[in-house]
Amino acid sequence: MKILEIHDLSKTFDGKKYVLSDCNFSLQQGRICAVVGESGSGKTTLIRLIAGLERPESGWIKINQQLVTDDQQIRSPQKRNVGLVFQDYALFPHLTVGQNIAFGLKEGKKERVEEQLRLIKMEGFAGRYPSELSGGQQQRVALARTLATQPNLLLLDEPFSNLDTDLKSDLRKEVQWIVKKLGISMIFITHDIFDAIDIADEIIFLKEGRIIRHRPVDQFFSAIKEVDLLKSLEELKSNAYRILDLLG
Amino acid sequence: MPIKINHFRRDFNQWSLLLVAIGLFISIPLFSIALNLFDGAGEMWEHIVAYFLLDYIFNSVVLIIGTGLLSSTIGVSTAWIVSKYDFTGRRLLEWLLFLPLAIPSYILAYAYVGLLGNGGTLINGLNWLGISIKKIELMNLYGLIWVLSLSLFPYIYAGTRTLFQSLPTTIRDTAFLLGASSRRYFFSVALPLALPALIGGLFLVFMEVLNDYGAAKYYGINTFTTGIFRTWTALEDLPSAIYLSGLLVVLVLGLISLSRWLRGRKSYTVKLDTAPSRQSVRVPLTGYKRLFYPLIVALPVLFGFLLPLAQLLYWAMLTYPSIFRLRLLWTALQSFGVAIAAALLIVLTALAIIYCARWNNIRGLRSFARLSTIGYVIPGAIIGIGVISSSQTIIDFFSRNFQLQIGYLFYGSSIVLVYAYVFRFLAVAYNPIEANTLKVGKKLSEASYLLGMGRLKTLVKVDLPLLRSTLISALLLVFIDVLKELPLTLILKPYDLDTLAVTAYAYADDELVAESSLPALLLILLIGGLIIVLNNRKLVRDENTGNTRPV
Amino acid sequence: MMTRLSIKLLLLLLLCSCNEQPSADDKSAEKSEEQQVINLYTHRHYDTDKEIFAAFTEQTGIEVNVVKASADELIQKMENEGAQSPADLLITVDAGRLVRAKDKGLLQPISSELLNQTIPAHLRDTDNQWYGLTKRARVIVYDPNKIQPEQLSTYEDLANPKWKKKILIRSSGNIYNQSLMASIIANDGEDAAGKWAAAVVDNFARPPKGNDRDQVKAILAGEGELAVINTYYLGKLLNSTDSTEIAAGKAVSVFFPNQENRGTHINISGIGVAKNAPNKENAIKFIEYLVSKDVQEKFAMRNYEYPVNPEAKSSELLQSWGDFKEDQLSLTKLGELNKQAVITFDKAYWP
Repeated sequence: MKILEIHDLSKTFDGKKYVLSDCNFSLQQGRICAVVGESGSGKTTLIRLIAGLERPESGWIKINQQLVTDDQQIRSPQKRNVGLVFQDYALFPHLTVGQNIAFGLKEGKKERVEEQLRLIKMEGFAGRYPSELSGGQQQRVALARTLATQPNLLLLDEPFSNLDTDLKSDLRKEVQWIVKKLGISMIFITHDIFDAIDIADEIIFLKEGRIIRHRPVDQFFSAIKEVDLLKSLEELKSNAYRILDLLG
Repeated sequence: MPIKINHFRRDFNQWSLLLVAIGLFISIPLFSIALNLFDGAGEMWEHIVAYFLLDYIFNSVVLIIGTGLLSSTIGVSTAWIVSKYDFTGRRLLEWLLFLPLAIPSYILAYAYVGLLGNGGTLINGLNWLGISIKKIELMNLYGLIWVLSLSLFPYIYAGTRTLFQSLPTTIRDTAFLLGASSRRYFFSVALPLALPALIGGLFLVFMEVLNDYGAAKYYGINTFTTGIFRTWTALEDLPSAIYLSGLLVVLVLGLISLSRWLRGRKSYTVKLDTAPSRQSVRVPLTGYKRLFYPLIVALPVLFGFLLPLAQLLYWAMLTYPSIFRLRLLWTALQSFGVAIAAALLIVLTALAIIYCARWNNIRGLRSFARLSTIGYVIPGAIIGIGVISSSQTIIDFFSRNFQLQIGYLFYGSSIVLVYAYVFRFLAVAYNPIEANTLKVGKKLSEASYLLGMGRLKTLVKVDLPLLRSTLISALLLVFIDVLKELPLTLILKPYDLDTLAVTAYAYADDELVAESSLPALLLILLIGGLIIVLNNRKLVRDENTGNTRPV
Repeated sequence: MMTRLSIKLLLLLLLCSCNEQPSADDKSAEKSEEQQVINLYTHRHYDTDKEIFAAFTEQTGIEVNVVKASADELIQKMENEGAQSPADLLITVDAGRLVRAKDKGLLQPISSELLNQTIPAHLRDTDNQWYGLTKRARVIVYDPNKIQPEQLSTYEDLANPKWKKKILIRSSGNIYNQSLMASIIANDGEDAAGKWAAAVVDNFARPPKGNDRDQVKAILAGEGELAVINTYYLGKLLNSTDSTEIAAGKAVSVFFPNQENRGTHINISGIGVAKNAPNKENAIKFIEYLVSKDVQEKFAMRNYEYPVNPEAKSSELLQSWGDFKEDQLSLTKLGELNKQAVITFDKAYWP
């Protein structure tokens, strides 16, 4: 079943320069998709469009088989059943961890909060304030807060970019484990190809607002041989070396 | 113990010395007032306690609560609407909302009686329209709350508006994605996050309310400040008047600790998103909000500025042939000169204290910085007395020991007056500048030290440019306060100095309210003009950078 | 660009305002050698005064430096300045403050035959430390449609329950109310004054607020039927530029109370020479100038006050209200009783 379908999606902010043009792709239920691209390639705009935070110039979006964005209508973010975790986590600094997680809940708050804290292995942190947490802990709380509302589709904007390397690979695996356990779908943005290879099922390459490749991760190894793609990755040297290592 | 002494010797530097010196120098009037307190209350103290004290406390507390609530409601709601929504006239209203600050509250009090009192302009207008109404009674506690709220809400508007505008969009988007309605986002996210800014603004409002004399006196309300004047002048008991202001200071300290307690453990700082690309994009209004929201924003401007301004203009039209002299323009120029000199000196002093405190390594000495800002909570008249008696001590000292007659230097020039302004208004500049130096942090200047730059050079090249907009707005706030200041100016001004506030007050005090409108208008023009110039510059900057959308 | 320019401008202004004062001082310090000056501390801030001071300078070459503030502040200032005070003269708008200044030793006696001859004895200090300049009468104004003048008699009568909810008067913080109360204490004794105040409070049409003009406007609006106000405020109301104010002034008639006994209560605006006056001779000259017939007519008339010089005529408006018998009670007495008056008001809960 397709959880997400995007058709001919285009977006411009000034009416002239397109930050996204004619994007087409779909995602199956339960899959994890990484969106890879340089900064300014339109990654953030893409997931903001999916979340309903931006209005496209043309094209349509279906979530869970339902039309949520087209020329006639825009369903508000509140009603899409989509979860989004921002790069800066956007934890409410005046609320405790528990209150943050409970923010999107209507009933059974206490149980849900405890359940989520168990899920992210942070039992006993309910009374802390975000400023009292480390970066990795903040990231997990932000994730738990979003998951608490039981979204069909989870969107993560550069989820691992603010973390140091060791923490990063642990958290990556943890996120993958949680998402697979809950059986939901996830799209995450990254500029680190290693993030993508490690946990994604499929990878989308964005360049100057266009989807240039969309492949399952196992096809990635063949795809990477294509010259134009390597070129775009050359700027991310350290990652490229890793990929070469990986390829043996 | 020896370690402590050693550490003291190690850590004591020229900045410690300078900090103590400035702190002490500015607090001189404070000591002279405190000395008076130790002399005990005067003979009328029991009489005051028996007949007035409860009244003073009750009225002042009701005024504080009422004005606090009304001005917060106006300030926060307008700040919210202009920073979140876009509508025709929004930019105009955005800076018009600052302008009620330009009208001194006692002038606003007079203007309102001129509008709504017996035979008031607005009442006549309504009668002419066929609405039969005699007057709207404003000269009571509620009327005073109304007038003070309308003239003071910009203090709250200014702080919360900046905060609302720089709240990260991700916070808002997250709240919406988690299913929050606009209402819930406002009440459980934006408003709590704006609380520190709101409390900061409220503090300024409270200080102004407690220091108000003219409006309360005209409306016949007994407050601490009118009581202090009454005790001093009518009951001829200065010691008791100083005692009363001591109580007032206690009340203020109570308010300060209350606000600290309110903020409690959540001493969070919001990471304000000043990166232009991520600032909130204003959304257009839809439905009933298209009419309703602009109205909410326009009404405070109408009642706090345009209507009273119209009344003043009407009065000025009636009286200008007898009042207008070229001398009035000279008075305006003098007001401007003194106020700008005082404002610059105050901002410089605040900077000096803040940075000396930072560069000094002895913790205990930092309280000298706080000490020097206490003048803001002491009524102007009491400060005036303190300043005169301490400068008299200095004059006597010189004439006794050096046979130098320096009295003329003190009383013939504006030196003492400007000094008193510094003592009175230092907090107005100190608080925002200190808050922002904390925000800027030490990292950048430390980086600069390690690059081999000296402290002063770093201050000039790194810190000051970063603080520029804070410094400008602090300068503006102090400038406005000094221009409007009355009791201190009355007591301490030299012969040849006339300020617009004093001129306006002199007319109004002699029941020539209509005649006072021309100098009042000049005062408003001066302040309003400056607000517009500064705000336009700022707004233009915001528009240039603020609305680029995320890519 | 703009900022730099404006900063430069500000600096320039700052320099100007710094430079200007000392140079002005130098000048005035030099001037005191060659050119004559007097330094005047005054609570009066009327434009007429300025013109008269200018005329004085023109006539005598003596320059008049003016500091305007409330009398209380000026007295405090003189007290604090002590022996080095530059003040030559103190003008107040009530006798009580002059008495207070005298009691604090801030004034000095002067001997001027001319002043003693011109000013009636009850309008000047017994020790020649201060002199009245103009008189103000505290009268009753009433709505002639509702009250007949025959119903009115004395200040004391305002305590009569027949005036319940009809009396308009401003708060006890007002100096003219205080001096009226002082005169009642002087005449009727402290106890009677206290009872009187309590009874008048019961007769208030509304809690005291606003100034004298507002009381008259309240009569026009029907909030009360009579008000106790100073004559010169009524004069100003009638000569206002605002038509509603003129209407309010025209709607009331003037009644001089206590004509059958001691006379209507008056207060003065007066002047005294400072204890440490650097320019005493000029100061005396100045006072003599102010009480001369011509100056008195201008000084008092334009401001709707009564002149202290019996030869000077009061304005036509004041004449139209008729002559009246004035209370001859020594103004010194009023000053001495001022504080007692305030306490009496407080005890009667007169706001």
